[in-house]
Amino acid sequence: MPPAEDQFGPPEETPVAEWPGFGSEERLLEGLRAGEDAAYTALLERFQTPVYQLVHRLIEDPNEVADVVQDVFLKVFRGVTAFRGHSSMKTWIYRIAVNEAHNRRRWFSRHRKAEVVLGGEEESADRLEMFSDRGRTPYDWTLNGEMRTAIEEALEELNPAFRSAVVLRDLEELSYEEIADVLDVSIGTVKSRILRGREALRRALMEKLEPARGLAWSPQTASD
Amino acid sequence: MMDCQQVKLTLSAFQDGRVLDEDRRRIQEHLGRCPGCAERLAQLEMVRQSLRTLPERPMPPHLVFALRSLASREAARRRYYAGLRGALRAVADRASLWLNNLMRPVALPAAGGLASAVFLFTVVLANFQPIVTEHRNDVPLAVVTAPTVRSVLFDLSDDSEVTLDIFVDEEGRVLDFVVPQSFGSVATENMRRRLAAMLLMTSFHPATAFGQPVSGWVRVKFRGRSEIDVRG
Repeated sequence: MPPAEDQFGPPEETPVAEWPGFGSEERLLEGLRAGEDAAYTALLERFQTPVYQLVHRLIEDPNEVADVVQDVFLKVFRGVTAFRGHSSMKTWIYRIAVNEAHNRRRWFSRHRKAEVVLGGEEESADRLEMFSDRGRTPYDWTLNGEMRTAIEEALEELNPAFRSAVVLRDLEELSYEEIADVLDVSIGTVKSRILRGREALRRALMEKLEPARGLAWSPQTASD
Repeated sequence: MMDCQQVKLTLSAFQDGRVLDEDRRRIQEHLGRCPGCAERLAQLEMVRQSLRTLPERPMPPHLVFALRSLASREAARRRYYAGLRGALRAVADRASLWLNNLMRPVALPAAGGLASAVFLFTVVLANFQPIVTEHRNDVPLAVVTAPTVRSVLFDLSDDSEVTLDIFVDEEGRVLDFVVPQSFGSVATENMRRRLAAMLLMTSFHPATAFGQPVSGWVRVKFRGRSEIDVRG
């Protein structure tokens, strides 16, 4: 069945950020540079949850998320004087978040290798498993709980470059242009990464949901 | 007409509405008659929907608190430095004004003093000739020197003495000579010819100005046989 035509509209425009009490982004920046408490609070209220969600999806160890988020905001607060407004504040902050998560992941993977040698692989795997379940509530274990778990696991296993692009597109709902700005790559690269990321997720999901068929899965058998 | 491979590569962009109208129509056309690609799109759509409906992770309260505290601290820090910068700028402005006021009255006398010092030094430098011409066979580069006698073949009787002002060209040849007024005069034409013949056989080191040979006058006193006394 082809999808209905109205299912895929034009790329949605990201709504312009509103800054209660400040009006424009420039005014907010002035406030931040002058050290106004209200400006700092407004920035946090607008971005703390998206940044937290983004970082959570980009690094494996949930224990690291809080540290990374704090590092991101420290860099944002310290960097406001250097921020020249060549990009929007949103993409600037997301870029810092993606870079911080990337750096932490690299650092973590280097040090975890050493840890595995000392502590044993099983223990490390157990701990990761324990942490990755922490956010789950009984509500998640409903009918689509299985799907949710599968997609989360598939996302965690995804190549970090593709994961950033897919997360920014499908979870944070950024436009291709904004993603290109955040990741500092061309629009063509963004397209390619989203394509490959989604394709990898699709394959992983099919394997997880129908392990018996695995790689031999074919559209005909899955549709029944 | 698009084949499955082409459609496979464009499905993701198609989902996001990032294809041209013409491609979009061709993709839809292909999907209408290819159940495999339609199923693939349905699965991709399911992936996207699953991602979009992933539950938000609740922010831990300690992180919310830590971020508030960080913001407050950073705002205070920014205010402190903004204030400090302002204060430093005011101090710098005042210092600059004070220095300006201090220097302005002395600027003209200082510049005049420096200019006259340079002028005087260059004038006085020319008088340091005796000091710098002490070395033998040295060519003084920075001062003016008088011609000097290189070799002489003068035939005078032992008790006689003659003083002449001689004009020497830049190659050390004698071009002219006169007897200075206070030293008498040449009595006869014969005497003058004799002096000229003798001077013809006398060679000089030419005068120099800054190392370059130039023409110039020199006063020479000849006494007895081969005894000479040169005054610049």
